[in-house]
Amino acid sequence: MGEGRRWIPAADVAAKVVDGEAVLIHLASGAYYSLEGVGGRIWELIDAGATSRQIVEVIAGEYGAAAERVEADLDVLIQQLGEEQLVTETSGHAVAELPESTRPSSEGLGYQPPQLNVFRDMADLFALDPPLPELKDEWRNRDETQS
Amino acid sequence: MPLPRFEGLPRVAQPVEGLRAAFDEAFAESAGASFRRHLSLAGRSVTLASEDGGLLGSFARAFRHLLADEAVEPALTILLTSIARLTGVVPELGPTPASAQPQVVHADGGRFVAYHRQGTLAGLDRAAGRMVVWCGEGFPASDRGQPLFALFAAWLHDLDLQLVHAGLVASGESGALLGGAGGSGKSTTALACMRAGLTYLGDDSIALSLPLAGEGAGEEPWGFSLYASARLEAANLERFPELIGTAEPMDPREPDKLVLYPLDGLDDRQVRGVTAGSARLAALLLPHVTGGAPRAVPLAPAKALLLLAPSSIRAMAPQPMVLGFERLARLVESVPCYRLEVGEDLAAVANEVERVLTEGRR
Repeated sequence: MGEGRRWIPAADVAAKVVDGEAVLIHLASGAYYSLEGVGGRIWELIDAGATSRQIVEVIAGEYGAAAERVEADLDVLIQQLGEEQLVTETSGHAVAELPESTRPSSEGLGYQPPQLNVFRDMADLFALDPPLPELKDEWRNRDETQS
Repeated sequence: MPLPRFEGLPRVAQPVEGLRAAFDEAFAESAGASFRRHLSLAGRSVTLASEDGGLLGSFARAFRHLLADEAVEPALTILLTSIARLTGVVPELGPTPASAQPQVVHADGGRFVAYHRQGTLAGLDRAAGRMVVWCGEGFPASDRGQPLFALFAAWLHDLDLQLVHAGLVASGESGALLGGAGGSGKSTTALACMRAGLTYLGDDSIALSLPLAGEGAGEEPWGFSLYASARLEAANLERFPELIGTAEPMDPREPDKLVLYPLDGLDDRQVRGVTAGSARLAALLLPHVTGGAPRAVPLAPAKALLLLAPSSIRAMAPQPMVLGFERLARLVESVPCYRLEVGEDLAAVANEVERVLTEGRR
């Protein structure tokens, strides 16, 4: 895994980390996901623009895990996120400042491999009746004297 | 002036190029509309006008609890008229969509939002605060429980309010938002609470006030009532025998789904006693139908978001979904969240909701 590998949340994804758990919704398909514990922390770091090396360093440091194990688990998770079209790879350098973890202090720091929980019960509904097209606001920006 | 174009609905595209003109014409003709009603909706004054008292009455039925004596500078005026008025502008509406879902399209850079469903065309002019509903044979049955849902979502968005797929009941000023997917028990819980004496603000669609930016950022969340109707599976109707007489099929093609009007038969004083226009959100409850005794179990915010957001995502549209998701995420961090196990004893369900609200006030 090279130092420069980075990923960003895909354009069709809404995501939020709440108390250390990431909740993701793919707006086009209706599938939704959660990442708890280590997975939620990894999503925080991906969203902040961290490189793969930074992610491994942070996770290994915070959870006391071997870097090689974290790196292997990150590879698996990234592959899953890519297959679900939740992230896209991008280029770029390491970010200078990474966010503090939002996990509750009550949560244990024992390392568990990240696991992507997948929920597809809304996907069939989306396929039958896709969401209505979103509002546009171009009219607010134009010069009404021209119209 | 470039005329607005109607995108995404080919058979209506050409005629509706004159949408702005059609709005102006409709409002000019309605200046002397014989029938007018006024609402206080989401804290704003809304005027309904029509030359057809029956049409106005069927539309206003779901808003009965929001009726006000008079409008003061209405933020929104809704004109209900006949599709026949559009003859010169829209010679052919196009086929009725096979889906029960409305077709919603945007025109003129998003200034106009138009809505087509079962022979009715309705439009919102966001700049002018005007809606026109051109009806075919009366107001469509499938829309009566929650009239113009998508257009209200757009109008509310412009007020920094968000339509969410949830019910709302209150004890005093403290409200419990009832979220979750269809069939989870929102309507059953809301109607059980109403029967038990809690205030009923809706079972399926609520306007959420929770500003993310600007002067209101950081304020506590509030919920505004829109529709005083309720949606219920026909199989559950026997649990509410007092409402059987108010039940109508939601859609003739889906006789198992009913729309109820719990305020039918009540006088104005009684209506004021059982409903309200808004409530401060003190708790988020995610109902789940079980066979055991009802109980509310504390739920982690992320788990609550997982149960609340997915079904609301579709309801948010045409509101921007990413913004809507962000607001729901803020909500679950703002109020205590519970999994509400809904059992057979409806009185006990209502007691449990009231217990949560009462303890939240301590």
